[in-house]
Amino acid sequence: MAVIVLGFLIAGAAGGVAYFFPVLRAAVIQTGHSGDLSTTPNPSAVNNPAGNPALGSTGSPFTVLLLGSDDDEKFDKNHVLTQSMILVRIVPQSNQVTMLSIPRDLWVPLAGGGSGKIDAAYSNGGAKMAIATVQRNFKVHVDEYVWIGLKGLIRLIDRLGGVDLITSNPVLDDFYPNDIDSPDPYATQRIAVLAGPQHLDGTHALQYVRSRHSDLRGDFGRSQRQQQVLIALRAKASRVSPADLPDVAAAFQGELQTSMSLPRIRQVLPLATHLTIESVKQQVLLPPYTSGGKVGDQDVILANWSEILPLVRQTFPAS
Amino acid sequence: MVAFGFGVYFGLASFKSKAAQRAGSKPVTKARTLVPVPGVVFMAQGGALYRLENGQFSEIKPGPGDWTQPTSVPQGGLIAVSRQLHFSDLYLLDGSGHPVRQLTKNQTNTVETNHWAFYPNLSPDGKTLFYSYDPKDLSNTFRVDLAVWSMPLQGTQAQGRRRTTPSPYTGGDVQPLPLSSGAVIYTKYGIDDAGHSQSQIWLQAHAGAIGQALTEPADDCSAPALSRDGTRLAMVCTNGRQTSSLQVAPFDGQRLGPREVLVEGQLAAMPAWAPDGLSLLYTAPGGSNGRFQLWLVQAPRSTASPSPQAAVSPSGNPTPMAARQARLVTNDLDLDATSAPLWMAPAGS
Repeated sequence: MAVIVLGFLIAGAAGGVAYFFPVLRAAVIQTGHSGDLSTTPNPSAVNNPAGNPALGSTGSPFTVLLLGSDDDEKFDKNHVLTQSMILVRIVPQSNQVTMLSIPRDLWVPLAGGGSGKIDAAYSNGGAKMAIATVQRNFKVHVDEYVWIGLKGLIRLIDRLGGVDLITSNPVLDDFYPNDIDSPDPYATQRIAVLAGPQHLDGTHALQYVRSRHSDLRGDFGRSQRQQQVLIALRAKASRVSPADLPDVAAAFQGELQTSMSLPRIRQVLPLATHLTIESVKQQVLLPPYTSGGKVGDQDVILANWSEILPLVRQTFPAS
Repeated sequence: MVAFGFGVYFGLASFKSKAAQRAGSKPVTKARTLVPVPGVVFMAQGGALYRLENGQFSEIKPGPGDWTQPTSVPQGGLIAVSRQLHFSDLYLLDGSGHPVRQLTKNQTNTVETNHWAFYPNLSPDGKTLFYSYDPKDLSNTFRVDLAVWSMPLQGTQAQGRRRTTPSPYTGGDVQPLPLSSGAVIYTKYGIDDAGHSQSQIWLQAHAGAIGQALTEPADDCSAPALSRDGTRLAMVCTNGRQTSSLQVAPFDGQRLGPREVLVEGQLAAMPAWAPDGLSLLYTAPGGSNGRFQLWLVQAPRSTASPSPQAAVSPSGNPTPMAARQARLVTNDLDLDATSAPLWMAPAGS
């Protein structure tokens, strides 16, 4: 009898492992550690049998550095710049999220030595260097990071079924990079993402968040659009169940790296359900926090740290 | 035991949410409407136009490109946009959707010298075509802003004239709505001092006139649609948020009256008036696949008049109309939400 029960347990476990294999594989490849797929109930759910939506009440607040890179053929795969850097503070107890976009051209001392645009930190030393540079300059502690490439973002959005959002203005660009699956990574194309409520697939969502040539605000406008898409993705993520994770993980094919463990991801997913748009605070470092300038022959963004650091301190704990 | 293992595998798979599944809408022509819609409605989905009449959909695919933004021609037929990779053109179509004439020629051999043409709309007399077009700025090649242009329907694009001057690097002026007075209502995009993009409904009294705002920047209104009798303007306003409200205001040809909220809390887009002015169609997510569907809502009768003092429509707290229940018209479409439905009276009426 015991042998039969054991056999069923093994068969069931094998079925479960087979189902979640893509997640385990992605976890090992993308984070360097294996995932914990135990089905232990969330302590907050145990302590909250009434199903109070204050989910994750036992989870501590944490800070994630989101990194997005142009990783097309123009670049050495191991030395890509970060086109997008967003510090995200997640407070599960109050279901609050703050997003702070860091301009990619911000001129800062780099953790590896010397000074440069902050987008070079990841190129010089990967996520470790990017995190160290952000921590040193913004005086914050970063708990986790997520890096995603161009195709990764397209695949993520497509795998989630696209995003519904209100695009803030017509985004038109006559020199948009035509560098994804293109024989010439330096080729350009014209894009026109029209304004208003609409459904965007991954390719068009990427166009919306990546274009910057015809925006008065340059990179700042792009940062605002990136935050809009992240909020729209939140709505999609709220409909994702753990059973979806194999499909989502399989979609990335190396286009996503993260330090987040699967338990942490499981903690974040339900948060998306209870998060309201009003509880997402968006910050972009427009003047007076920054100003345009020149270093040598480079156009850069100069930080006004006496304004930035008090703003950052309101939300992000010191390192 | 092996079967049990497979059972666990497929059992787990059954918990997949629809969010992570690739959406597959069934062909529009197989779709059915949930509520009857009188008259004829044209809409766009997946690069084709569709005609809805008597509850039946029929596809119109006049030629290569993605077809969108149909508008009516008083003499009969349609004008629609054909969009390709680097350019888009306007076409005059006959009543069956066959191309009669290419109205613009925006394709060139160099990628960045192509042009866009969007949002066609004819003047009430059917003689002048208004549209959004991106003129080139030779001194700033990165600048691409749409402006409102007009050209004689029976003329050529070379006779086209720019009607508005867009704010630079904002996306520009779109969705022209010509009036019988020669004025044109349109949506103007701008960027405020805090760096936020905003849209306003503007009115230009005549060609060459300086435009005037009909709504406040912070209201973030767009997609103007005028009732057939010209007394009410429908629009979509977002107040800078990621939800929109469908609003209607009385209009006297120059000013808007107090706005009334018909629908709130959806991603409502692109309203279109019923030919009799009693209701509105718009697009918003819904139905079985969560994609953009057609919705129907009753329209308020015109009661208030525009304030003679205020040039800009009173904003802040438009009157909510919670009693107006929007009804889902389609259930499993995936409509192009940047293309307003075109709602026409049945032929011969």
